[in-house]
Amino acid sequence: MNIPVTLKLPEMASPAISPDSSSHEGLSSVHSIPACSPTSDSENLSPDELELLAKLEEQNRLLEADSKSLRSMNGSRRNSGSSLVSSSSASSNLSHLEEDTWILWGRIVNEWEEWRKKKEKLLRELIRKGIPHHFRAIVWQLLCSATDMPVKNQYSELLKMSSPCEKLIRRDIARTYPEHEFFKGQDSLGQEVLFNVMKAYSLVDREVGYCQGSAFIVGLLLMQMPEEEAFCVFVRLMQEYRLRELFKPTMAELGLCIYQFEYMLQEQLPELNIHFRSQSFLTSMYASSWFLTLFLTTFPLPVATRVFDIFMYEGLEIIFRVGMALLQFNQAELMQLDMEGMSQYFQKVIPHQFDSCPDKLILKAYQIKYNPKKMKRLRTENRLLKQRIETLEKGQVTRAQEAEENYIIKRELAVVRQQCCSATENLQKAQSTIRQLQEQQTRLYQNDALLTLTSSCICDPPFSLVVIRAGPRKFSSVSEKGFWCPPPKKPQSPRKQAPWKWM
Amino acid sequence: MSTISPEYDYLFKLLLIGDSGVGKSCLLLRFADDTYTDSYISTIGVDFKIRTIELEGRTIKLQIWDTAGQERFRTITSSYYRGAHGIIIVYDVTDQDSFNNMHLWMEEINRYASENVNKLIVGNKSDLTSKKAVDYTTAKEYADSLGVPFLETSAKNATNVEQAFLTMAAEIKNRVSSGPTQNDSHKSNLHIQSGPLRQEGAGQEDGGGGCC
Repeated sequence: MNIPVTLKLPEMASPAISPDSSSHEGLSSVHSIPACSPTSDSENLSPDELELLAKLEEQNRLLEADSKSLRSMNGSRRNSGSSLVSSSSASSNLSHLEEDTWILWGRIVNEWEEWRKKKEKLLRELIRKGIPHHFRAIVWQLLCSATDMPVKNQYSELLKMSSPCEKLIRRDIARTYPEHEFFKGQDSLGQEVLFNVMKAYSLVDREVGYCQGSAFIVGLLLMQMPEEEAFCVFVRLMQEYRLRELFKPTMAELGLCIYQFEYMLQEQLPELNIHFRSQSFLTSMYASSWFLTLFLTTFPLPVATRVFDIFMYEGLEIIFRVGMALLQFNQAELMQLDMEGMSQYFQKVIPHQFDSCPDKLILKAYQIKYNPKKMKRLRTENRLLKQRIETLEKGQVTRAQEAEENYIIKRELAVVRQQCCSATENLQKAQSTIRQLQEQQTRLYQNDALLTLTSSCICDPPFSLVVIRAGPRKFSSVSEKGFWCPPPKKPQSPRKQAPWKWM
Repeated sequence: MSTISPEYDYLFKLLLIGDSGVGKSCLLLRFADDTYTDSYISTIGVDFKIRTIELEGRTIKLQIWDTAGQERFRTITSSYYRGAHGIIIVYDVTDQDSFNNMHLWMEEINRYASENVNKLIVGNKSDLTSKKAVDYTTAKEYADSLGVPFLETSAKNATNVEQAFLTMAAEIKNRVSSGPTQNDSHKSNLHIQSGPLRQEGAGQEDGGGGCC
C-alpha cells in the first residue's frame, strides 16, 4: 500500500521538546495528565480532529478484539521479534479507519512544525494511541530531531575504521532478536547493519563505547529505517534521552533510575514494597532490563513498540509509568509468591499479559502518579547519598590505612622492645662477667702477694718486708735495713741480671 | 508455579560469572532445562534458574544466578556475590582473552564474595575442537595453582555440564556439613522462603542506592 501523502521533511524540529538528561523530570510535568481521554484536549481540537480521535479509539478497540480472536501475537520473550504485526494486516474491515489514520498521520508529518508547536496535546494523544507502523521511521526521526544531523555524513567513514569494542559487539549481534526474520542467520542483512551501527556509535562516543542492551534499541530502529538514519536516531537518543548516562561504564544513571523507581514503589504500593523487601527481591532483579532496553526484552515487539513510541516523545518517564503499572496490576499475585515465584512470574507471566491489549497497559501507565518535581529532588538526594557513601568509603579506606600503619608500627615497636630487652640482658651478663673477672684478678693479686711473702719467709736470713706498690710484676723490695731483697722467681724484672749475692 | 517451596535438605546459591559470550546462560539452560539454543538473547542484568538434585541421599535445591558478562554490569552483579555459596567462573576455550581475564574475575570474588565460598573453573564450548585456543593443561595448571576444581564443558552437547554443577554442589555440601559454623544452607525439613543472595541486613542498602 502506498503512503497517501508526500512526506516532506521539515527543516528541524524544535529541540526543546526532546527530553534531555538534565531537565527530563521538569519537562515531563505537562505530560502527567491521563491519556486516552480526548476530552482533556477538546477545547483545542476541531470537530474533525475529535472525530478522528474517536475513530482511532474505535480502531484500537477493533484491533484488540481482532487480535484476541486471532491470538497470533502470543510470542515468547525469546522470539518476541517474530510477532511484529502491522496494523494493516489485522483485519479487512478496518480499512476505512485505517485510511483515515493514514491521512491524519500524513498531515501530521507534512505539517510537523505546526503540530509540534500548536497541537502538542493532540499529537501526544495520538502517539499514545500508537504511531502507525509505516509512519514510525519518519515520526521517530522527527520526534528526536534526527532528520538533519551532521554526524550522518561521517557514517560511511566510521564504517571503515576499526573499534576497540568490535569483539564485544560481534558477540552480541547474534544474540539480539535472534528469532526475528531480519536478524536471523549469520550473514543476514540485519546482523550486518546492526554491527555497523553499533560499531559506528562506539567510535563517536569512546567513553560509552558499546554497552550490552543498547543493541536491542538499535535493532528496533533498524526494523524501521536504513542504517544511517538509525545511527542518527540512536545518537540523539543517547545524547538527549538519558540513554548515554544509562550506558556509561559506571551505569550511575541506572542506579538513579532504580532509586527513583523504588521511591515510587514505596509511595504508591507500600505493601508490595514491604513484601519485596521481606523476600529480598531486589529492584535490580527485574527492573534493570526495563530501563536498559526500554521493555524491548520484556514485551513482544507489538507491545514494546507502543511503549517505544511514547518514549520517543516523552522520554524515560514512560518506563517508570509502565513499570509501576505492571506492579500495580499484578500486586495481588505477587504478594502470594516467594522470591523464586516472583522471579518466574516476572519472566513468564508479566511479559504476555498485554499481548492482545497494549492500550490497556498504556492506559494503566497513565493512571500512575508521576511527580516530576519529586523525581528531580530524588536525583539530588541520590547524588548527595552517593557522595556521602564515597566520603564514608574514603574515610573507611583512610581508617583502614591508618590501622594498617598502626599495626606495622606496633609490630616494629615490639621487635625493638625485644631487641632492647635482649641487649639489656646481654649487657647485664657482660657486666657480671666483668665483675667476676675483676674479682678473680683481685684474688690473683692477693695470691701473688701471699706467695711473695711466703717465699721471702722461706729464704729468711735477713728479715725483709715486701711492699707491693703497683702492678704484680713491678715491685721494689727494700729491706728495713736498707738493702735489696731478692725478687720472686717467676716474674722477671729488668733487674733480673743485677747481682744480689751480698745477702 | 507454586508459592510454597518443595522440601529439601539444602539450598545452595550458585553464581555464574565470566566474560560476555562465554556461554553462561547456555550452561544454565542445559543444566536446568536440559535444552540448548543457538539463539539465546544476551543477559541484561541478572537472571536465575532452579534445579533440585539428589546427592548422597540428600535433596539439594540449587538456585543458580546468571549474570551479564560485560565489565560495566559488575556494578549490578557484584551485589549477588555476597550470599553465594558457590561461584562458577566460566571462560570460552576458543577465546584466549576470556581465559586471560580469569584473574580479574578471581579478584572480584575476593572483593565481594564471602571468604569461604566454593569456586569452580569451567572452560565451555569444548565441542569446538578445531577452534580451541586454551589447552586443557594450561587451564588445569592455573586451576591447580589456585586449588580450584576445573572442568571443560560443552553446553551444546551436554558434556560435563551435569558434572560441573554436581561437583560444585558436592564441594559445598562437604564444606557446610563438616564446618562448625553452619550457615543458612542447611534447613532440614523446613519450608523456607528462598532467601536472597544477599545476607540479612543488606536490604537497607538496596533501597538506598540501587546498583551504585
